[in-house]
Amino acid sequence: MLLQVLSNNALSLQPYIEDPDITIVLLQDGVYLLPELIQQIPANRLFVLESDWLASGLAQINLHELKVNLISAEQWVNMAAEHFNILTLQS
Amino acid sequence: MNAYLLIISTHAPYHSSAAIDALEAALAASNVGLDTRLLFQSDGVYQLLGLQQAETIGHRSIYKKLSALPLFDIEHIYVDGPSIDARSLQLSQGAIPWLELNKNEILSLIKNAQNILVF
Repeated sequence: MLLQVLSNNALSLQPYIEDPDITIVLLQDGVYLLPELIQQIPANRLFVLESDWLASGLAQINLHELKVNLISAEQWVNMAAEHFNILTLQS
Repeated sequence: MNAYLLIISTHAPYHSSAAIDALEAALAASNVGLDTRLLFQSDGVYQLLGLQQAETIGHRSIYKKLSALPLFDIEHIYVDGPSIDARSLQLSQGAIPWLELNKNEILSLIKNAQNILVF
């Protein structure tokens, strides 16, 4: 399952993040969840849309060091095409 | 204490209109001569991160807009300290002259305001 997170409401994620097969993409305000999620989920299952990450002002956090994947919009679309099923959290 | 309008900004900067609505309300109020004070609370504290590269998503940096507030006679800018702590943020003063308040100071700020707008 691909979980697309557009909100920084951490509670809305809780039912899903224990699934070991889940891949998470953080978008829009969802990028603010990264510092919290990195404590709970292996970095190789976390993806962050680079443009939203840069806009957020959190770029002082070194994602390369954390081994979190920054992706372009094109890569995000490809991930959406490759996954079944997709869940989008907006609030 | 003089009567003042308190605007509380509680949303992250770009993916809803709430942050910019709060800023525009503050500018409009100041423009008509109201003593206007601005408090960043909850997710609103994300607006004060100085490294925003908003052009990557087709926006103009709200941080830069906030930096101009003193030019519009909005000089009382406050930040909710517990909101910063809850998000483990390292905020530096930078270009925006804000003052960090604790819970009791915020209650006092709210209690003494003539009107309050929450965005």
